[in-house]
Amino acid sequence: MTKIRTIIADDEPLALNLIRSYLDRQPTIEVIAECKNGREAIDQVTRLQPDLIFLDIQMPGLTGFDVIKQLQTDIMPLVVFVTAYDRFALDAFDVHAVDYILKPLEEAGIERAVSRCAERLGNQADSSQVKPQIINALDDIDAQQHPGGEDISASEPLGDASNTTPEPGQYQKIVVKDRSAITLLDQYDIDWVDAAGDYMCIHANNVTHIMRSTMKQLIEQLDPSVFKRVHRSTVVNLSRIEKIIPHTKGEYFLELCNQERIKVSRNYRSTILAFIEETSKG
Amino acid sequence: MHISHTVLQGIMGLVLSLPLHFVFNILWDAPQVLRAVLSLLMVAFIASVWTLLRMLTFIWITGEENLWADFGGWYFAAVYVFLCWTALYHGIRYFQLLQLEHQKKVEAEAAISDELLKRLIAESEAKEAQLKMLRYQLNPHFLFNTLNAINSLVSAKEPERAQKIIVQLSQFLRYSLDNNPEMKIPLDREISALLLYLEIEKTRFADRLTLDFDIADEAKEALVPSLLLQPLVENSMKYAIAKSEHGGTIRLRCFLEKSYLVLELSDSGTGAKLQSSKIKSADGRGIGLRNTVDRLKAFYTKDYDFDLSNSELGGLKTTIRLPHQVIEDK
Repeated sequence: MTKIRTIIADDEPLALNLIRSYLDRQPTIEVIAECKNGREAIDQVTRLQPDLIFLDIQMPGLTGFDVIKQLQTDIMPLVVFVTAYDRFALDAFDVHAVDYILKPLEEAGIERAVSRCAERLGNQADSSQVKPQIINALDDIDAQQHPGGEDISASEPLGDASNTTPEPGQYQKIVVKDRSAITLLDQYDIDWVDAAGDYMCIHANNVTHIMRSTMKQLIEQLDPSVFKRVHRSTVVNLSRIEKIIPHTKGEYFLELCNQERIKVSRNYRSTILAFIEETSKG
Repeated sequence: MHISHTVLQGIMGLVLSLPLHFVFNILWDAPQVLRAVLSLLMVAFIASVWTLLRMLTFIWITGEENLWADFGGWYFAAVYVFLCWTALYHGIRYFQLLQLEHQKKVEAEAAISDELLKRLIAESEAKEAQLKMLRYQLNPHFLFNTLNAINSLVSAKEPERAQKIIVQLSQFLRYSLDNNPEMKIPLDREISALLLYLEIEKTRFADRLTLDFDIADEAKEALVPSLLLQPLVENSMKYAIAKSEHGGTIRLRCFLEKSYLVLELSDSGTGAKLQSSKIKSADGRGIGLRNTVDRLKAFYTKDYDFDLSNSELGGLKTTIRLPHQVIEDK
């Protein structure tokens, strides 16, 4: 039986040691990395593609929630949140049934989380469902913290909607409605986009914007000569690619100019091969 | 004929009431008996003048000769009219006075209830500040994370370190619960409580927290409001150390300057430099800072200074200047 490949992320060394010591006693778990902050967690998840991550919520730089927002949906591991005190979050996750455990940790809590994860993985549960659930819960938390705000609603293209084939370079801005503000995003500022269920995570200028939309609706607004699909739920801005790193089984990694890594699945590698060919032709 | 006489005597009566009014105004504040006697004399006098004038004009208009025998009857009517006038005068005067008194009373009552409201607001603010202090002392985040750290030390079979942190936590909690936020205590006691808290945080965050304390010897006896620095240091932990991947430094300088005690607390921030416009809002630390200013105001009215600036370490610098006080009987 293969073990569950697991990563732990917590900014307090003692807390990290404790989770580690509990997990080492779990026969089904293999801890493959420990991370001290959110940035390291994103690096390690992208590099090692674990099955499971124990993620602290309060961490310096990127919080546990930021880590989820920035990770590509297609390589999302199962997530167990670890937190000392976060009422909003816990209420929300109760509803959405994403695993979480409370500090001070007790071994029974870890055991419960591990067996739930084993069950999910055993059922060959689609791990691409993890991010949509969490994003959904985050939206709920946001709703509790900014009551009275508008719902995240579908984006509407600016300008004349009947103009079905806009000229290249004439593509509209993307309208992202948030609870606090409406952002008009120049689509050429977008680095990459990934879908999480009913939500789109738009990564632009080191900020992750979340908007309610389907992949199809969004792709229709994007310039097809610049934005290409590289995975089932990932679209990338070709002009941001700095490195293309071959991986196993015909997969690739794209390294973007801001050091982020994105996985290309086998089914979409032709897109990348075509891009390389076109670029080398000049 | 008689109509013109009636009009004339009316006008004369009106004119004669003017000196009567003048005299009554002067007599208003005089003793009761004197006032009554003088008033009656005045009425008698004015009435006689009026009667004389009325009779003269009657004679002048009608040419009647044998009128003077009726003087008593004419005079009686005149006295009666002026007594009525006097009664009306006093009635109106007293009515006005009553109205004035009533208005004054209403105003006084409003002022009292206003005062009461202000006092209630002040009291509830004080209570609220105390509650906030309690919440600071028993910050659940801090408590749960510390217990988790102890759990970890026990699990790692490090009983000495676990014991040390348990004792530090107990002492810190006892200090927080025993100390009344309305009390002043010597600075070195405040600092030692602060160190209990910071040593615990140091165990949790390991090499991410660096402390740089320098307390001048002569400042150690100076009195400060108890737990004054605690919320500020917790802010530094929350917004500078815990938010920075590489951790940072908390620096405290305490010294005397003329007749003032100066406390300077700085931290290294998150790395992002604060814009001067953002210093006042202080990076989300607002509520804790306002609470501190409120307490200083309650303790020292205006004789204190509270200032925020960019710290040379990169974060926020809080400077507090208090009147130098020590315990008297030593």
